[in-house]
Amino acid sequence: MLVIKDLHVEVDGKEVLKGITLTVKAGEVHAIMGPNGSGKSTLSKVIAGHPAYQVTQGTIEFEVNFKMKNLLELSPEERAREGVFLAYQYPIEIPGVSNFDFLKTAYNSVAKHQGFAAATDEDFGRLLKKKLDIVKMNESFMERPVNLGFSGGEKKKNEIIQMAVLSPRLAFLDETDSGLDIDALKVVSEGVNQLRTKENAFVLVTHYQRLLNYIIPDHVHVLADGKIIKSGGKELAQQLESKGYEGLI
Amino acid sequence: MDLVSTASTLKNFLQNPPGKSQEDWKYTEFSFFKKQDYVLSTASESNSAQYFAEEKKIVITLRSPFSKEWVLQNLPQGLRITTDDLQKTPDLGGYFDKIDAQLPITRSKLVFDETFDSSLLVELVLHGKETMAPQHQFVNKSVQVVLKKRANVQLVEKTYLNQKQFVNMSIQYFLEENSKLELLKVEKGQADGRGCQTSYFSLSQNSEVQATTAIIGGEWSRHNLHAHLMGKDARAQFLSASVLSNSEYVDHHTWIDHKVGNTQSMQRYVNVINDEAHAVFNGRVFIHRDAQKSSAEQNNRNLLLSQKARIDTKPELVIEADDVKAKHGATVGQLNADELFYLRSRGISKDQAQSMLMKGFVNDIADRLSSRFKGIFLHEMASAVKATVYE
Repeated sequence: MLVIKDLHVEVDGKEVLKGITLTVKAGEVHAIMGPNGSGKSTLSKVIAGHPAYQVTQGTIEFEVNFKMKNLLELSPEERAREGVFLAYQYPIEIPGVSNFDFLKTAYNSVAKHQGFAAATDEDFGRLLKKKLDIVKMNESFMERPVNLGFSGGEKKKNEIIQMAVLSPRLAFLDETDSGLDIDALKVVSEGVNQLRTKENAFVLVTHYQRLLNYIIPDHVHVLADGKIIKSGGKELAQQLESKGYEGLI
Repeated sequence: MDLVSTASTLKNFLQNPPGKSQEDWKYTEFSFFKKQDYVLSTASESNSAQYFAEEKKIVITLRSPFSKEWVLQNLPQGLRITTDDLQKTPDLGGYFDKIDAQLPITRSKLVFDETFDSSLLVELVLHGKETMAPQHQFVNKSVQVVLKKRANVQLVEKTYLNQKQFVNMSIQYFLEENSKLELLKVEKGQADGRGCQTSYFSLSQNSEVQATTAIIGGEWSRHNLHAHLMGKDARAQFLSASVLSNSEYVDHHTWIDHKVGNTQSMQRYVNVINDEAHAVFNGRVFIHRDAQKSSAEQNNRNLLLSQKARIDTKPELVIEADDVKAKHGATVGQLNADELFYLRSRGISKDQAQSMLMKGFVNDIADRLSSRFKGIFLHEMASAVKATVYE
C-alpha cells in the first residue's frame, strides 16, 4: 500500500531524514520508535504533505485504485481524499469553526471524491454519534470550536474521531499516546483497535513502548538520526523498553 | 439659534477637523468635509415607539434630532420615554462631542426598570434608511438610555449611513446597580455614507454591559466607545467584527476606565480587510490607582487579504494600580498556515479551507454572544462575509 524508498527530507535547509526505506501493507500495524529529534514526526508530516518539508531525494508511492501512485505529486487534500490520514501530535485549535462543521465538511469532501453523495446535517449527525461512542466522547464537543479549550486528552480523542469519520486506508498516528493518562490511553487504543480491518494500515509513531501494550504492532522500526537502524517484530519494542535507545545506537 | 448662524457654525466646525498631529485622529482622513458642503439635516418628524407583542419586540425609532414629540403605541411595563430630567453627560473630550453643544439638539431618554420583561427585544433605530438627499447632509442625533437597578435589557441599535449623509450619533447608557445590558450595534451603509458614533457607558456596582459592534458597508465609520467602571464588580465587554472591502474605512477607538477596584473589562476586535480598505483599532484601558484587583484584557486580530489593505492597531494599557491582571495583544496577518494545513490534511480544498477560516474569524465573536444575539449578528454579517469570501 505504501512504499517509501531512500527518502531524504530537509526542513529549513537542514537534512532531517537521511534515507528511509519502508513498506507498509494493507492490514498491518507498524510502530516507529525513536528518541527525540530522530525524525519521527517529520516522516508523518511528509506523508501528509506539509509544505515546510522538502523532499530532496527518494520516492513515496501509495496505492490508489490498485495502482501505485507518486504520493509527492498530490496536494494535502488529495492525499486525504485518497485515504491518507495523520493524527497530529499537537492538534491545531481553530477559533470560530465548530467541530461539527469541520468534520462534516471534511467528510463530504472525501465522500464526494470517492463517489458518494454528500451527507445532510441530519445524516451526518447520526454517523457522528456512532463515531463519538468509539472514544466515549460527548456530543457537546461537536458544537465547540475545533480543539479550542480542549484538554490534551480531548484533543487526541478528537483526532481519533476524525480518523473514524474519514475511514482512511493509511493512518499515521504521531505520538498519539503523549500527554494521555492511562484511562485515556486505553480509550484511544481501544478506538484504534475497533477501526482496524484487513484493508487498512496503521503506523504508530511513538516514543514509548506503553502504547504498544494496547495496540499490538506487526512490525517495529527504530529510527535514529534520520535513518531506520533496526526493524523487527513486536519483541523489538520490549527489547527497547529494557535496554533503552542507547543500547541500540 | 437661527438657521444662518447654525449653518455657519457647522461649516466652521467641519472645515477645521482635528489634524494628523492629534494622537486620536492621526489615522483619520477628513478630506471629504473639505470637498463637499454639508448642510444640517432639519427633518422634524415625530419619534415613535411601538410594542409588537407577538414578536416580543419593541421598535423605537429616533426620527428627528429636534422633535420632542413621541408617538407611543402600547408600551410594555417597565419602559418609559421622556425628554425631561436628562442625565448629566460627561465631557469625553472628543471632536464630535463638541458639536452637540453648538448645534440645536433635543435629547430623549429611555428608562428601563426592573419590571421590564428581559425576554423582550428592543430595537432602537438611531437612523434609518432615507431617500437620497439633494445635497450632502450632516445628521446630529443623541439619545440616553437608563437601566434602573436590576433592569435586564437586550437592545439592538440600528444605524444606516445613507449616501451623501454624515451621521453623528451620541448614545449614553447609564447602568444602575445590578443591571445588565446586552447590546448589539449594527451599522449598515452605502458608498458615500459616513458616520461617527460616540457611545458612553456608565457602570455602577455589579452592573454589566456586553456591547458588540457589527459594521456592514458604508464608506467611512468611526466608533468611539467609552466605559466608566464606577462601582465594584462592574463589568464591560466590547466585541466587534468588521469585514471591509473596496475603499471602506472603519475606525474603532475605545476607552475603558477602571475607576474603582474589582472591576473587569474585556475587548475583542477582529477585522477582515480586503481591497484598499483601511481599519483602525486603538483600544485604551486605564486602571486607576485605587482600582486594585481589577482585570483587563484586550485583543485585536486582523486578517489582511490584499496588498493594499491596511490596518493601524494600537492596544494600550495604562496601569496605576499594582495588584491587577491585564493583558493585551494584536495580530496582523494572512490566514494561519497551520490552521490551513490542518483543514487541508482532512480533505478540505484550499479555497474552502480559506473561506472556513475567514468565517471562523467572525464566528469567534459570534460564539461569545447569547444565542439570540448570535443569530441576529450572523444574519447581519452574512452579506459582508459572503461578498468577501465567495467572490
